This record gives sequence, structure tokens and C-alpha cells, in this order.
Amino acid sequence: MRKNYILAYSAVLFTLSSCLDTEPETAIDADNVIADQKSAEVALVGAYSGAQSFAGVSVVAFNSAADNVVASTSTLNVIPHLQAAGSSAFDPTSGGGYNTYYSAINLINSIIDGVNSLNDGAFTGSNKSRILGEAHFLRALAYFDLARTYGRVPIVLHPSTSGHSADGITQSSREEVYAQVLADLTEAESLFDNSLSSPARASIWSAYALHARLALYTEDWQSAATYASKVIESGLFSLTTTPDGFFSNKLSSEAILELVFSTSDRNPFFTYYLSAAEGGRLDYVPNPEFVQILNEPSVAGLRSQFVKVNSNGIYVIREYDRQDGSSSIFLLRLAEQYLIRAEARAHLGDLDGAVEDLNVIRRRAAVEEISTSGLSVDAFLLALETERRVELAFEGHRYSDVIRTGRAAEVFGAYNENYKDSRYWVFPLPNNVILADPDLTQNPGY
Amino acid sequence: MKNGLLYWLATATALFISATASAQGTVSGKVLDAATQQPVIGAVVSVQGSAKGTVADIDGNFSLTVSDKFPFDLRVSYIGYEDEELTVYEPSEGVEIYLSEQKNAMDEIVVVGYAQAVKSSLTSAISQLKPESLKAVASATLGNKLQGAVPGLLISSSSGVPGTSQAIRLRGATSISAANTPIYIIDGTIVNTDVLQSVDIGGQGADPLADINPDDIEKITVLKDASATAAYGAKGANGVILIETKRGATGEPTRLNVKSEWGWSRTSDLWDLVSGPEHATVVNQAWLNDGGSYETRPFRPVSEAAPGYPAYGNPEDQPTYDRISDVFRTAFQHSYNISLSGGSDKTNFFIGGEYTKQEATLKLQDFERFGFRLNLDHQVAKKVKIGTSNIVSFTDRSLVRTGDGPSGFFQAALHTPTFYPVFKEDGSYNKPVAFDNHQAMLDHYDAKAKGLRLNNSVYLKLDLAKGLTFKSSLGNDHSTYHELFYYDSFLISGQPNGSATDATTTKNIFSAEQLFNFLHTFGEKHTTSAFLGTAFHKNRSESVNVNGKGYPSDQLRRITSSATQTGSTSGSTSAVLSFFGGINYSFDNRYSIDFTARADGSSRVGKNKRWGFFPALGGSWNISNESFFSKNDVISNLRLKTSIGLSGNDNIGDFASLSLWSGGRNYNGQAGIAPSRLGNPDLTWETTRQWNIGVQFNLIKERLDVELNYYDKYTTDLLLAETVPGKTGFSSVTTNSGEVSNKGLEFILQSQNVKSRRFSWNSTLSLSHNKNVVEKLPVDVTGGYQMFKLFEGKPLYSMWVYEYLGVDPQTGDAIYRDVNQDGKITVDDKVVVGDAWPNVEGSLRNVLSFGNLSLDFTFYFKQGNEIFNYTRMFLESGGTRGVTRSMQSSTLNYWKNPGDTGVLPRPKSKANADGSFNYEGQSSRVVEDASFLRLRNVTLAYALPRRAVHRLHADKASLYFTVSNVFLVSKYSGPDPEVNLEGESPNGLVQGMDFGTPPQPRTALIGLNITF
Repeated sequence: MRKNYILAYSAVLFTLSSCLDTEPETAIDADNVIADQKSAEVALVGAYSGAQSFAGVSVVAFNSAADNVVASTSTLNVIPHLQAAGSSAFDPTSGGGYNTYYSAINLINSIIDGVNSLNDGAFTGSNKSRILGEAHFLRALAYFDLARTYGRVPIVLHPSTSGHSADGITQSSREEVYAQVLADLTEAESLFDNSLSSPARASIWSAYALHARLALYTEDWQSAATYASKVIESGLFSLTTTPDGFFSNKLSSEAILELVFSTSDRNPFFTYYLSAAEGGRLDYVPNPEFVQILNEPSVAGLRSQFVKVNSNGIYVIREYDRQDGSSSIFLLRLAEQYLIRAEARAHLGDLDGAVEDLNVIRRRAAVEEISTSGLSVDAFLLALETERRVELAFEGHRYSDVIRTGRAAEVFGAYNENYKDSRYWVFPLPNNVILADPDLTQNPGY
Repeated sequence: MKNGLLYWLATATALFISATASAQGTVSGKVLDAATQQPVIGAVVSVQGSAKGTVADIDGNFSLTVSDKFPFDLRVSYIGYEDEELTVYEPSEGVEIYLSEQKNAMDEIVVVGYAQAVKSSLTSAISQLKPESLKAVASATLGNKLQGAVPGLLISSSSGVPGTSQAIRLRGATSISAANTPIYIIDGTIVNTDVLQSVDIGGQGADPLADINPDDIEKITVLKDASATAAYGAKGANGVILIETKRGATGEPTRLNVKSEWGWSRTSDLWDLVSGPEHATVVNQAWLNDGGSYETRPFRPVSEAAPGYPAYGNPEDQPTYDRISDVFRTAFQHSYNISLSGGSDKTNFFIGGEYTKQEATLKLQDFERFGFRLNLDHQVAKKVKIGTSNIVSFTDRSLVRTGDGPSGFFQAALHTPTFYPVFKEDGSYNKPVAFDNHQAMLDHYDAKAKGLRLNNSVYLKLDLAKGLTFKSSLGNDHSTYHELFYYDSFLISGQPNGSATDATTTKNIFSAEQLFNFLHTFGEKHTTSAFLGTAFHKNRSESVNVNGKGYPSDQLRRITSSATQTGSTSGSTSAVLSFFGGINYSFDNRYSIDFTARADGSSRVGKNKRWGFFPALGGSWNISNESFFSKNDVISNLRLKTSIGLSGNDNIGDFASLSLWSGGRNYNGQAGIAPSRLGNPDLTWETTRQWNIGVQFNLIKERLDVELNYYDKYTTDLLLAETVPGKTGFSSVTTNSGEVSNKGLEFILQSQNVKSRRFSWNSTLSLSHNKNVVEKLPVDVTGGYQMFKLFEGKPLYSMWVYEYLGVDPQTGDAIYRDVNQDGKITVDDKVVVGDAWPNVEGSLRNVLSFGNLSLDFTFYFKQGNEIFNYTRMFLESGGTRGVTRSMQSSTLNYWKNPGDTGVLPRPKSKANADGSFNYEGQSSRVVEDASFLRLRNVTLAYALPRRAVHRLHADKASLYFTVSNVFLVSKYSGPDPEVNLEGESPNGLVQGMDFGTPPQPRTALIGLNITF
């Protein structure tokens, strides 16, 4: 009898010890996650979610580093970012978003390696190459923004399985990173077909448009003009009637690639750019000097619509003002392609073509067209710089435009002495990033 | 029997008649020692509830003539004897009163957790608290009542809001990223101590222990050293707090106890803000010092406004609005406790009910609790006993976000510049800066949380043989916290068309324990006790969180009426299986030795490290029982004790060891997944090695009771998020890599200063000191705020800032210590200037009784701790925050002319030549000494005289008056040096930060306690 009790009791204990194996309910084990087309597709959706994160950081960081946007919480004005390295000032960018990029890159690398390791038979139709195309494109986008933020960054092309997976990978030069971007874009272009299902997802057209932008940064003027032309002449995109059309409506006719958000997948931008009364925190406002430019009809024309006076009499940015968080991030749009081609053509000696491209944008903004007569290339490039500043006001272009054209000492130096030293024409790597990675060295001067 | 309710029902009338019929008379007799039958010379014989009394003569005889009406109670007492009480119904002679010698407290059999032992053989460091010591504090929650009562138990209030969680640290903090809270065991059941709240309300958490009615508590035992905590194995590293609730006594008549309290609280000495014109002047000065032009200065005639350069009017025209006094109130609190207890010879019971409501002095916050308790024990057969303990408790909170964040209520009132009107000209709420409008919040805020707590256990106890028992118990602790937040469109959180959150979080802890206990004395001198047991615990947590946006009307506030809905849910399970045992052997009441061990298997730990073993060894020596120790009147009961052992901390997250991908990474309406964690299959629990050495003795005929303990804790395998290179796509992997030490001293002195017939005075002085050091830190760990960072060799909660040296009298700019002397002020120049740990924490409690009156007051103090005064950092900003934040008056004392000293830097937000900022936020300028001495509470109680009590047909009645936080002595510049932003966040690295937390109020409370 007593023996039976002991047996029964042991049985109970044995049963209980099996309770020590518990399974997570909101996550899955990392081994072989990408096993078929369906899992590859959901991972790819995750990669777009990653792109939402890094593109968000990139726009905010570049905007706040340049002279179009200033922090509203102090009388301290332009370019607080570089001064603020290590200070307690509010900085949603975590120093430029380094880790945000690599978290997306690791996911993209998992997709590329995972999909490549699967048989073609696991996919229907051309889905395998489309998935790979989108993945390569997103990786190109991430490395492109990393290179223009920090200059030199490590290139990691395979997924991490431990904290030491990428040990020994040091920073590549900006040129090498741009070469990797080009390689990924070229790969993407070869994988995509010519269709455009929705500008909310990457297509061959996004690859061409980013290719044109990359060529501008690498001063490959011929490629810049060629790839911009492919997009402009595709007939798939058209300028909206007014300059604010690209953000007044979601996925406008001008959108080549637009990261969309919704009320359940919210873009936090409205909290940065709207006042408390509208549910935001108003971390950033347009630079008062830039507001004067936007309000100058001969320069900005209809683009004064990009800002508005809020109920407290303060100028705020309109572009991301959907209070429900559904404002998009405008990664690639047609107006920029015109401006890219204008700049490339000017450098290639085709001033007429350049002026025509510029005037396409000016016409829409109801600003007087410029004429070629007596116009030097340098004067044109200055006019183009202002045009880009105004047209692409809050999309994060201004900082790298002024840096890449070598004008930062002159333009930003007026606000911050540091910019007179070209070593400061890249962001510093965030301190915690350097401490975490013995393979990294800080950018010179910091 | 004479006092019982039944008796009262049956004999009230008779008693009345007899009481009125009696005349005065004499009572005489003899006081004898119960054991020796010898007279007790000098025994005090007194009439209860009056000043009348006498002293027994050399033969033990006494005679007392009283005018009191019969019947009355006599109390007979003498040092070294138990008090004896008896009721005298008529004049009588030859009454013999036997006093029995006070039992040496050391010979009691005590039950500590699983173990039972003769008290004199205990080797461990424990503290026991009786409910009397909890009574004096005017609070509805246990945490407040424990504060300062136990040496080594440091409880930091987070704010003056009732029902808010607190940081509780026993003998320091052993962990960096796992929890530091001790485990709580109520009537043998482990209870949840996790904050179940899911809506962030700015540094406030809902205290999970606020569900417990402190009035139900009979005894609290705090287990501190390894010998005591090893039996709790992987849960014991942060200490164990055992709570026993009240039970009925077998064979006692039924008693009815009614207790009511009413109290009022006020918060005073708040911030002194600048006037509108002062604000404007400072901002204009900052603008000019920054190189801004006079023409574009912010405060200039409105007519001069230009795009991007708003004009706010001339400084002298600025109005001043007071918002702070709008948000505070005189808060009311009241509570009612009613309980019935008693028992027959086989069954005893305790039934209690409670209602408590406590308003916070900060408007919009209330705490309300309905509690019910049933404890029952029944002797089924001679050797079989069963019993049950049950709590049902409902809490109801009104909430408002207070601290951090733009939608903070308290922030809105404190930080909105005073020159802004509350309303716009059109009558709408003015929200000129990042904060919400405090009046809009007062008018429209609607946030509630309802908690349900069910704590139930049953046990079966068998007497197997002499000294051998078996106890099987099952327990379940269930908590649910349901939050309902609705923000209408008048609030910034409700933009644009209303927004609501409905969240329910549930946590359930099931435990099953089987325990054998053995206690036996062999011959005269050998006493052995032992226990052996097994336990199984299963934790289950669930959460459902739904949000709605876009509401058609403020009448429709539930999620179902919203235009768009989002939601998330989660669930998680963990389980622990344990085997434990212990043996104590004591020889001749002189030497004793203890061995305890526990083996735990946990689902949370990596598969490779699933089982852990936690042993402890302890010993004690009763020196005063040695033959060489001659009995004397100076020192007695001298004991030495020591212990060493291991305990663990398994609060490491349920799945910390696995590599995972998670969902929710959605895009464009499609579901996506992404890697969420890098795994570590070798992950194990944190282990604390602790040794303790203590000495206990009594002085001057046991008038002083002294205990001193020294401990040394060293925790290894601390869970740390070891940073991995960012290029891997992960920021960290959880590893066991940190080490932390805590060393400290605890001292408690209980003193019977005066014990006479009419007057007694007892004091308890408790002091503790803990030195916390991060011993090994292979990774960089920074708290949520950049001012809190860990360094090897420095304690947790260190404040890491630029060291402010003052103002250059010539330029008016701030000077910071250039630590690396490179001519620039950079991150490398930040240093640790202080930490949140006090050097000494302590309390001094005095209880004075004079006849029917008693006075109980407690001083509480901390010395040597620092606070990072983030609130002052914002308020003392020298105009550098422009028109976005208010300023406090002290900011006006800035540098104006060369040669000015003892002033703040000149208002300027641009960088100085060395890269520093005059109003740098992370500056030692706002790190303040937060030492304080506080008269925490004073209670004056009056026990109604027996006659009056009898007239009420009651047995006992008392009336008391308590004032809490009577006064405060502190150099701290804010209103309350005890505020603490983080409260209890499990992996909080931030303690000692004052940021938008309402101060603790002063409370006056009146109470009535009647037993029938």
C-alpha cells in the first residue's frame, strides 16, 4: 500500500518536471524560420517594417542636422545634432540610427540567404526573384543611407547567429559602401520585372530611381541622367498638380516608393512636428529663416504650403501632420528625379536640358521659370541647390546635398563653426556603437 | 469568556444591573510566584483604567480600597513575570494571585518558513514585526507601514500617491537587470509582486501589494541571511518576507472588532515659480546672450512679429497664472474594518471585511479597496487538521499620468510657463507648449483601473508520530488589473477625435507544497529539528490590450464605438520544481548548527543549466548558557550566530535563453516577422553568496535588547545584456557576466526605558548601512537617462554627470571640471558624483504609555543619499528653455555683472568655447544631498476607561489620533527628498531621481477601534 503511494507520488513529480519545458507564445524559434514562400513573404514584410524604422530615423536625423529644421525646445537653433553628441538634448535618432539600419540589414540578409537556399519549386511564378529583388533593393537603401550618414561603415552580407558572427568586419570606405549599394541595385534590377504593382513596395522603378540618386552622390553624371530618364520616361509617374500633392494624398501619382503607415502601424513623426494641442510634442519646427524663404513667392511659390501657422501662432511642418500617425515617408518621388537629371545634365554640359528639368518643378510651384541666357553652370547649380532645398524641404535631403557639393563650410559654417572643418561633414558614430564593436574606429575629428 | 460577544448578548442586562448596584470596597490578598509559591515582593497591583494601585509588601500581601464601581479589572505585574489580569466582582479578601515567571523568549518554539526550531537555536538573521508596529502609520498599504521598521529593509517611496509601487531593497540590491524585490509569502503562498499595469502613467506603478489589507496581518517575518533564505533557493536572493494573517484562537469566545479611520491630507511647500514679467526678462536676456538681435527678442511688442520670429509682448505686460494650486487638494481618506474571530475546541475562524478609500492630494487620483478575508482551521481528528486562508480584494483606482511625458498632469501644472493664460480668448483650453492643459485634464480626464486579487490556500496537516508532522498545501494567487483609459478630444492624448485603451493583465501563481517536519529532544541536551519537502510553482501571465481611436461622441467611451481599433495580446508560462530540506541540531541550549539546502529546476533557465543547488550552513553559540558565564544583572542572553550559503534569483524573463523571431513587424496591412532576440543556451540564474555574523544580548536585567548583524553578499552570474556589435543586427545578448557586492551592518536596540505602575516608555532604534558595489561589469550599462550609468567599483544608482565648479566671475559662464584636461568638455569629462544609497538609514520609535493614554512617534531618517533633481534642472534653466518651460524663482539669481559670485551662470544656450553649456542638463549642479530627518508619525491613543467601555457593552475601545509626516528637516531644495521617479521597475537602474513626482502629503487621521 505504502509502496503504491510512493509510486504515485513519483509519477506526479515526473509529470510536473515535464512542465519545465514551456514554449513562448508570441515568438518562434529562430532555427529555419524561412522555410517556404509564405515565411519568406512575411519576413519580407518585416524587412519593410525595418525600413520604416531606419528611414524614419534617417529623415529626422538629416532634417535636424541641416538648416531647414530646428529644435523647438530651446533658443539654441541650427544643427543641434552634432553639438549635442553626448548631451542630454532630445534626440530620437540615437545618433543617426546606426543599430536600426543593421537590425533591418540582418533581417534582409536572413531573407536573401534563406530564399537562395530554398529550391525554386518552393515558390510560385516569379515570386522568388521578386522577393530577392525587393530584399536586395532594401539592403541597397540601408547601406546608401548608412554611407551618407557616417561615411565609413562595415559591410555585413550574411545573417548573424551569435554576437560574434560579424567579428573582424571593419569599416569599408564610403566608396566601397557605395559600390556595394550599386551591386545590390544592379542585382535587384536584374531580378525585377518591369511591373509596378504599388509604390508602397519596391519595384524596378525604385531601383532605377535610387540608382540615379546614388550616381549623383558618386558624381557619375551619365548614369544619374540615364537612370533618372528611365523613371521619368516610364510614363508610370506624373507630377501632382500642386507641390503639396505628394503628401496630401497617399501614394500619389508622383510616388515611386513611399513607405506607408496606418493607424495601427503608426509613423511617430506627428509627435515630433505637431504641437501638444494637436497631440504632438513639437520637438522640431521649421527654421525661422527657412520659413521666410518658403514665404517668398519668387523663390518658393506654392511651396509655402509646406508649413502652416498653428493655433499658437507658431510655424509648423505640414508634411507629416496626420494626427493618427498615417503620414507616409516619401522615399523616392518623381520631382527629385527631375532635379537629379537637371543637376547631371548641367555637369554633362547640357544646360538647356538642365534648365528645362528645373523649370518643370518651378512651373508646378508657380514660380517664374529661369532662362538659360547668360546663365553659368555654377549659377545654375546654386539655383538648383535652392530649388532642392525648397522642393525637398523636409525629406532629409538638405544635409547631404550641401555636404556632397562641398558647400557645407559656407552654408552650415554660418551656423556652426565646426562645419568649416570638412572632417565634420559626416556624423560621428554614436559612442555606444563604438564601445560595442572593437572593429570600429571613430570618424576623424570626433 | 467574560468579554465575548455571546456573553455580551446574554448578560448585558444583568451586568448593567450589577454594575449600578455595587458599592465601594476593599480587595486584599497575596501575590505569589506560581512555581515556588514564594511571595513576589514589590509586585504592582493596579486598577485597570485608573491611576489607583498599590505594591505588594515583603510577604506579598496587598490591600486596595477602591471607590470604583464593581466589577473592575486588576492588573498585577512585576519585572520577570508575565502580567496577570483578573476581574473583581465584589469586595473580597484573601485573593491569591499567582504570577508565572516570564518565559525566556529564547525557549519559544518558532516557525520560520518551512523550519521550526527552538528560538535559542536559530542561526539566521531574521526580523519579526507585530501588528502594533504597523498601526501607527496612516497608510492603507503595507509598503508604507514597513518603511523604516526593519533594519536592512530600505523602502523608497515613489510619490505621494496612495497605492503606488515602491522600490523595496533588502540588504542592498543584488541584481542589475533582474528583479531586486524580495519575495512575499502570505500564509504559505507565494504572491505576485510584479506591477501589472500596462498603460504608462509616467513613473507610477500600481503597487501589487496594495491589494492586501494591512489590518489582516498578524505577524511579519523578514528573512535576510542565507541560512534563512536558502530554503527558498532560486527565489531567495533578495530576501523573503513572510506574512501571517490573523486567525481565530481555539476555545475563545467570538469577538467582534470594528475599526474606523478618517483622515485628511495636504501637500504644502511646493515650488515657487517666477512671475510672467520675470520669465520674459530672463528669456530676452538669454536671447541676447546667444547673439540674437534685439529686434527679434522673443518678448517685444506683438506688432513686431515676423514669420518664424514670434513676438510675445513686452515683459512688463506679461500676466502671471498659478496652476500648481489648482491641481492639489485637501484629500480625504477613510477606512472601515470589521472582523469576527473565535473558535470552539476544534474549529477556529477569522472573518474580516474592509473598505478603504484614500484620495491623493494630487487631484484625479484615488485609491479604493474592498477586502474580504476568511481564515479557518479545523481539527478533523486527533491527528488530522485542515485549514484554509482566503483573500478576496477589489481595488478601484482613479488615475492620471503624473510624471514624465507631455501628457503628465503634474507636469502640465508645474512646467507650463506662468505667463500663458489657462484659457484662450475664445474660452478654449490654451496649450501653448508641449504640455497638456491642466484644466482640460481636470475637466476631461477619465482613467480608471480595477484590480481583483484572489489569494487562496488550503492545507492538510497530519501528526504522524511524536514530533513528526506532514503538511500538504495548495495555494493560488490570482491578480487581475483592468485599465480603462478614455481621452476625449480636449486632451492631447485624445487627438484628433478621442482615443481609448482597455487593457487587462492577469497573473496567476499556483503552488503545491509537501512538507515533513520533525522536532525532538533526546535526553536532556540534544534537540533536533528537521524538514524535508517538495514544491511546485507555476506562473501564468496573460495580457490583452486594445486601443480605439476616433470616437463619435464623449458619451460613447468603449472601444467598440471607435472608428479604428488595434490590439495586442500575449501570454507566458513558467514553472519551477523544487526539493528542499534542512536540519538543525542543538546541544544543551549552548551550541547549534543548521544545514539547509534546496534544488530548483526552472523552465526559465537555459536547457544546459536547468537545475540549481542552493545550500547554507549556520551555527550559533549561547555564551550566557556556558558555565563560565556567571549570571549577572548587566548582560544576559548573549548569543553569537553566523551563517553562510547560496541563494538565487530566477527573475530572468521566461524565455531569455532562446533565439527568437517575433511577429508584429507589420507593413502596409500585412503581417511581418523579424528576429527579436539572440539566444544563449547557457543562461542560468543569478547566485548570491552571503555570510552573516551576528551578536544578540540583553543588558541591564533584560531592559535593553540588542542585536547587531554584519553581512557580506556577493552576487555572481548577473544577467546582463552584453552588448554585441551593432553590425550583427542585435544590440545585445543576455549573458551571466556581472558581479555585485553588498556589505552592511544592521543594528537594532529595543529599550524599556521606564516601566512603572503608571508610566512606561519603550524605544526602538534601528540603524542600517549598506555598501553596494558593482564588482564586475564587462559591458556598458546605462539607465534610461544618461545620468545613470554603471561603473566597476561604483554602486548601482550612481549619478554620472559633468562636475559643475561654479561660474567664472568675469564672463558669467559655467565652469566644469575638465577631467582629461584636453581643453574641451566632452562625454569623457563626466564623473560619478553621487548615488541614491544612504550611508545610514534608520528610525527611532518611542512608545509612551501613561494610564490610558499612549503616545507613539517615529523619526525616520536617511543620511548621505543623493537625488538627481531633474525637476530643478528644468525649472532652473536661466531662460535657455525659452517660452517652453516654466522657471522657479531661484533661476533669477544669475550672473549679471563681472565680479558676481555665488550666482547661476548667465542665461545662454549656445555652447561655450570649451564645448560646455551654461545650463547643461547632466550637471552636478542639480545633484543634491537628500539626507533628511522626518517625524514620520505621531499617534496619540486613548483607551477608554473600563466603565465607559462597559457602558458601550464592549470589551475594549480606543480612540486615536495620528499625524503623518509631521515635519521634515532637509537641505534638499525640492518639496520632498523621498520622491523617486522609477518606483519599482524591475530592471530599473534609475533610483533617486526627482522628476514630476508629487510629494508626500502631511496627513491627520482620527480612528476608533472597538472590540466587543
